[in-house]
Amino acid sequence: MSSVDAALPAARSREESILAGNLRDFLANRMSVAASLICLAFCLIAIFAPMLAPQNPYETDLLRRLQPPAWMDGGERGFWLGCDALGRDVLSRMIYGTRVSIMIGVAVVLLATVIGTTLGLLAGYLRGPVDIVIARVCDILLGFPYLIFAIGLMAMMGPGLQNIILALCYKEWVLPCRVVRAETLAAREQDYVEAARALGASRWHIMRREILPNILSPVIVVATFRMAYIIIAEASLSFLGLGVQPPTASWGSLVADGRAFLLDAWWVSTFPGLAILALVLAINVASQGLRDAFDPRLSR
Amino acid sequence: MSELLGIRGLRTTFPTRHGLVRAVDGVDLDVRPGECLGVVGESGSGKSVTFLSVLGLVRPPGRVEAEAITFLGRNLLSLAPTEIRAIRGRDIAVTMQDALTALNPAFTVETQIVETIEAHEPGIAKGEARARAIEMLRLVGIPDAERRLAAYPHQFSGGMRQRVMVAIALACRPKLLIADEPTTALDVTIQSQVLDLIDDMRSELGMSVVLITHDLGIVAERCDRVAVMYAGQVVETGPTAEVVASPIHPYTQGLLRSMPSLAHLDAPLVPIDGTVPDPTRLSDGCRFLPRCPHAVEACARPIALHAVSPDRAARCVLVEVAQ
Repeated sequence: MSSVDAALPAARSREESILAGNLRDFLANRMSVAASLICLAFCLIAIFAPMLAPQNPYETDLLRRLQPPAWMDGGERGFWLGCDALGRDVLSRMIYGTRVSIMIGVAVVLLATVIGTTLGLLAGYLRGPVDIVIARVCDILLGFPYLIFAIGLMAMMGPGLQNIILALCYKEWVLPCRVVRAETLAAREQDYVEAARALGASRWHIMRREILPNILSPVIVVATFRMAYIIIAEASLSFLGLGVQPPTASWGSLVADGRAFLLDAWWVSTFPGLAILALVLAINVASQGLRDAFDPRLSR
Repeated sequence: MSELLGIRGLRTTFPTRHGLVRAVDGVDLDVRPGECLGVVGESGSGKSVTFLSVLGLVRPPGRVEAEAITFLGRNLLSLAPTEIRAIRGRDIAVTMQDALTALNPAFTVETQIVETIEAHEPGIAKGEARARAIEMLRLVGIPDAERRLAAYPHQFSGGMRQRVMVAIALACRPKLLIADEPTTALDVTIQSQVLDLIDDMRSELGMSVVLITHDLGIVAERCDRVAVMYAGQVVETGPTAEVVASPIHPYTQGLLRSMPSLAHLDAPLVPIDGTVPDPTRLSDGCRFLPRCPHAVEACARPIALHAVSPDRAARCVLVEVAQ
């Protein structure tokens, strides 16, 4: 007994799940930790927008029309990044726009991941006709160019927050679906799946408890990568006027607002553009780190 | 003869690009209550597939046909998939060949044992299931069971994982344990520990055990009866002691001669010449014919399993002639 106890502390220090081990690897990567902190900061900005915004983002004041940022001639304290063509504070609109951009990004990726993972599990585990139908639908959807189809959908459904989410989701689920299907095909041949079957586990139990937890890493990585793409896609739709409708601001519509004054009032478009750049870059670097931590080939 | 599990005329086939593979071809087997049946044969002789077929675990496009598979008087062939599923794990439990990969890496041992118990006894209290899990781990000889419940499979050594798997398999107190090569990945010393463990469990829980192995030595040591399989057929069955002492089928004789013996260290090992036949091109006659030292012309026609004594049978033309 004593010899057993002596051997235990070493074993206990490793008592963590695979996901916990991955998380530790991730935290060891400074770049991606910094990037995820930036993402977190954007999320906090989105949540606390009403407290952070120095001005009312919807209040127009034609006297402040295209007023430059605070540090330039003609600038004014409290209107730090200048004003747009209707005299609305750019910074406040950006802070509120963060809400829209992140909310759409999270909603689309969440919805697409849940749908895609479910269908991918069903296709990969059940095989047969279910697999054929789901795989074909995926193939067909992949045949459509993403944004053009989304634009078409938006034109059909009309603008609006809910409709943007739907228009971006229409084929966003295909990617997680294919990843999950492929991973499931490999996982279903694992001995522990066979063992679970031999011990009388139901199909539902096997998909949910035996396969899903073991293929979660790539799903998470794909989801974070796609988040960046969705934010850009939403910005593109809003830029084209198909996204959120005025006076609601998203980063894309803010960039569009300043497009006509790019030479005279560069700040109206530039700062929202930089915000998009910063968030997308941060998400990409963070997800890069996630991928490295989750990739079994880059073992610790 | 009241058997726990009776298999009659089991045929399992897999269509492949090279033709139909007859993995199991007309197997008759009985497992009696409380006994340990050894199923011996080379890789690909159909040992594992036989029992996967019994449990309905053969995946399409594999096909299972049988005259009858009875378990406790119920015909398993006529059961709905959900009914068979209820039998798997609760009445007939299987431990898989490779203990190192047969545990789900994503969950602690506790979760895995408790979930198996819950699957077969819905409505069991969490605390009770947990207590049973601790009891099972203790039973299979894992020290400090309560604490080790919270460990993940990768934190156990191979032998310990094999024990955990036995613990999971026995958690619902099955009437029949099918131990598929329970010792393949283990050291010799750990091997005997695991086999002792299964033996103990058998007498303690009063269950039957089917020990699938390629190691005739293990069977000789542990099993009441033995069934020798070759190319998808049972070629010889009988009480282990009798089969080992006086093997009838030339394949069994060959197997015994090719096994090293501590008693006769200087006796040369005699391998069986030739290789296992291509499973897509099996002849109707004796499948051991090309490798058999006693082959005669009559071997080319279909050979049935002949009873030699009430308890012994062999699939060989020599038996036929002798009768």
